[in-house]
Amino acid sequence: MSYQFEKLTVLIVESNHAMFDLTKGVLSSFGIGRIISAYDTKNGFREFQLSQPDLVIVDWLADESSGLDLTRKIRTSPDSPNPYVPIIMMTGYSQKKRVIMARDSGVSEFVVKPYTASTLYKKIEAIIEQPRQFIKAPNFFGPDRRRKSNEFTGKDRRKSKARPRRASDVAREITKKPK
Amino acid sequence: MNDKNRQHDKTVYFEGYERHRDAELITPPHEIKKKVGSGGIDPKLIKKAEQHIKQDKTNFTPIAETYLQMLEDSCAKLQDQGLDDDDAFEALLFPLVQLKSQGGMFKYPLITEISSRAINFLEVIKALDDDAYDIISAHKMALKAVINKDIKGNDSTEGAALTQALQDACIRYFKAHS
Repeated sequence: MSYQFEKLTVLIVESNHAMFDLTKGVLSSFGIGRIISAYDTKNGFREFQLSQPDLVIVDWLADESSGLDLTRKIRTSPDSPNPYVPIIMMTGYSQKKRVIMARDSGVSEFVVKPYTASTLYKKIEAIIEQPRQFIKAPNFFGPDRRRKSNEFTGKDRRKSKARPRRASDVAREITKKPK
Repeated sequence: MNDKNRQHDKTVYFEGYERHRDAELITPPHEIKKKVGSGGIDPKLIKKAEQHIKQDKTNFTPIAETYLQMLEDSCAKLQDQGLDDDDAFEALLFPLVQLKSQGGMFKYPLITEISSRAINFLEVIKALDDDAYDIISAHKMALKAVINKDIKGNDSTEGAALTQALQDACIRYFKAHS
């Protein structure tokens, strides 16, 4: 049993045609059934409304509105048919502040170009297998930005059967009269 | 605990309480999982996709030339008219980011390496002064040379010499400006 990728529709919003063709080829090799293109964010949103894709891959772009604006529009516009759609931001920007900007706009995953097919697949797999809850706050709507849970790695003393020695126990032992 | 501390604790508690009450946690419908099911994909398909990237026949030269021209225009504008730093920064950054991201995808890893160095330089400098402009110009000329001479990887003698010269120039800049 394997993923039935042929059932998926993916929208790629990418201003560079050669890069779009390359990414389309990669997704086709994975077996994705339907791949739709848009070369700017305005058409990107229109295609998103028309085709209602299962996944959106968006470039940072450089026209008057960016991939960040498109992400915010998908997440918050009353005209958005699916504000929960997974969005992968694919871009050459890799600085931490850019990753934070993308995350704050509501993207689900971030892929730095140049990318490998394996990296892109892992991000799609993460979307499928590790879905994140959404946060609805006054100034943010999107996937939970807390990536890791702060797991406690020390000794769990609550599970320990041995009762820790208290100060009163020690005092009792010291003051106990010898038999 | 004195009164002052008690007041402080109370404020923190109520601020936190308000913050949590304003944020709602939603578990969205997981439609994509319902459609694709389980089991991953055959690793052969990932290899096939990697092969697709390797065998791509896109002629990157005209694409790179477009971005190089953009970079030249930004540099010329910066030199002639002067731009405030934010505009200048973004105007230089955009073609460099495009070259960085596409070079590696279209078999020009040296373009990615040089552009990446220029981006890192722009990210850490405090101002786009004349010296910084010279460093960016050096990267621009190196990128031009790589495209004109069709040097793809940095394993060639010329590629290694170029990247070393750019690295030395950056080191000299930071020594002079530290």
